[in-house]
Amino acid sequence: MKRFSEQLQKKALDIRLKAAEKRELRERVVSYMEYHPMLVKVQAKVRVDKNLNNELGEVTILPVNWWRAFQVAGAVFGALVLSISYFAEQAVPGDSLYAVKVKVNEELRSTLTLSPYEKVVWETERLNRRIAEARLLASEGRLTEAVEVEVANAVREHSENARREIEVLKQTDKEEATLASIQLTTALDVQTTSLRNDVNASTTEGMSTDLISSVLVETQQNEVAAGQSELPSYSRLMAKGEQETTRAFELLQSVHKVATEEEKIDIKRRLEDIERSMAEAINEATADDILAREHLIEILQRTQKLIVFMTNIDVRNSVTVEEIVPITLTTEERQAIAKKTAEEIIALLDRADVVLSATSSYAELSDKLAPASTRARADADKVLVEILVADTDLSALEAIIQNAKAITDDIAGLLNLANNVTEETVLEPEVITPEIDLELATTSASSSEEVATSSDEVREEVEVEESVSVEAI
Amino acid sequence: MRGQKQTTDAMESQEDRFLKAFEDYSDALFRHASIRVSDRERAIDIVHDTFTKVWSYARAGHQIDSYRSFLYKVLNNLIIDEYRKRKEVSLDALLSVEGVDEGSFPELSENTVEALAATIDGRKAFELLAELPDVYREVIIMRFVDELGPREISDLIEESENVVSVRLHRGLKLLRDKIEATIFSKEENRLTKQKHT
Repeated sequence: MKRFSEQLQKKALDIRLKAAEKRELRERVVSYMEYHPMLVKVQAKVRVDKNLNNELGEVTILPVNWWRAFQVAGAVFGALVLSISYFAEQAVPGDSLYAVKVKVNEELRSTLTLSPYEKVVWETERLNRRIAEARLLASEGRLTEAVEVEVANAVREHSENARREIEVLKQTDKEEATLASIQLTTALDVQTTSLRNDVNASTTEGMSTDLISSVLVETQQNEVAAGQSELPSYSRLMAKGEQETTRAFELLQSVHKVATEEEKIDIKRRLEDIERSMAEAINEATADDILAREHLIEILQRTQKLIVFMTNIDVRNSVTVEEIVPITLTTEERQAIAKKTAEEIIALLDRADVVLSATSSYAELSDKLAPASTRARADADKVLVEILVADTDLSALEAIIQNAKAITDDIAGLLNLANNVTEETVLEPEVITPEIDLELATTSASSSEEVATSSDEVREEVEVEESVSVEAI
Repeated sequence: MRGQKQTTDAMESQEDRFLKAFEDYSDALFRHASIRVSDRERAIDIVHDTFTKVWSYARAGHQIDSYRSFLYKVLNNLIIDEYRKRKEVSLDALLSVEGVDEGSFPELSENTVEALAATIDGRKAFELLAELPDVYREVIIMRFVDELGPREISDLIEESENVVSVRLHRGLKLLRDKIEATIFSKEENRLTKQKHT
């Protein structure tokens, strides 16, 4: 066969293009190429199939790939919808995209939220959003009356929605309804506090959120009136507490960059307080279940307030964490404060004795003050001794020391004002007991609460002194 | 900027590849066309048309993996078009003559094709190629002149490899018969002349 092929080829090779023919053919082909250059724009990657089943005539070249164009158009449309939705999230009343935010984004999320509890959470969040928007507009001086009315209506509507969901929840799960109610009331509480601060601060700016504030107060009162029908079970409260504290810790991580150093320390301190209170509640549970549950509800409220504080930057701007979640002192701190106060009382009384004995005109005053002074000193000494005992009743000691402190402060006040003091104005020391410290006063059941305050100056002085001592710790 | 440069490079390489294909295959394509259509000028035109069609295809952005196969494919289609234009030979008639059956066992064997080819004088066969129906001439030229494989031929003519084998077998057999007939007639002529003398 090889021979046959060779012989055939040998003959065939005689048939060839002459050089001139080949040159002419090449020129014709090249000139065709020049008249029909490569198409730059059409770069479709159509590969010729190896089996070459199509005739050339059957190959159809589409300069525009419609499917591709359709895909691109779809992608562009999708991106447009997403970006509009994204930018709408930043809109405030009066912006063209605000309707998209409220009527599309938020409604869509509402529809997608199925569980009634989550619905309450979401309505609360919407309420927070409306107030944040109003506050932003007020700070920029763009809060018109119309917008304020709109926001106030929205606040009312969202809280009503939340309340309705809570009612629905009550039919199926009363405990969950209580938890949802806590969620709503804490948010209302925080927003009311922060708006009240805003109203006080913004009188000079001419843009107040009075109407919204009043609506909030009204809503809050309604919520309180509605009350908490059922005390959730211990395990359920515990679970919720754990969940919320975990969320609070996560939020602390996320606000790490935006919060100031001071705020971070404050929040951390509150979280530690909450953790400690949780541990206390666990201990209480064995002895008194109801007490532990009530304690847990209070912890839950604190945690949720803290969460609202962390998640709303404008709330952070108008209130301090102390106003929303006051610090909870540890036993050691309470002991240290009591001890320090006792020492201060003794030092102050010593100074008073020196002044009284050195000045002869004070002899009468000295006699009058002697019983009070002795009593205060005795109380302080007692506290200093008992504070060291391990299982002492700290609250009782605090009450004693507060009383002694009030007496001592009055003595000091009298001596400082000695030149202007007349017989008529000198009152019994027990009667002149100014309100000393907001925090400690809540824990001490001293008689000072029932008694009228003596002078603003004295109170201010004491407050300053107290805050310094707390900070020092 | 970079993308544009890449596009320009791609275009240049496409042109280079095309011109190289012209240098490499224009002679072989001309030979093939020339034997098939038996008209030198027409063969040159067909080769020209082959290259312009392939260029049009490439300039539209289509990627061509193997120029050789693609050029033969286009050339073959143009030759068939040429036959249709001439209408000298009806392809249908040829096919019906052939019967397009599946072939007998020996016809399907590649070995028998080779064995058959070994018995034929290539030089004489070449001269008689023009007398064969094109369906046989086509496969014989592709196989023995252009040295295309059975698979490649089957792709080009869009027939199964079996059909290619059968056509080769029958074409060669026809050729051998024709050669033998020629020899026989020549011998007869010689004997007649001798008798006359």
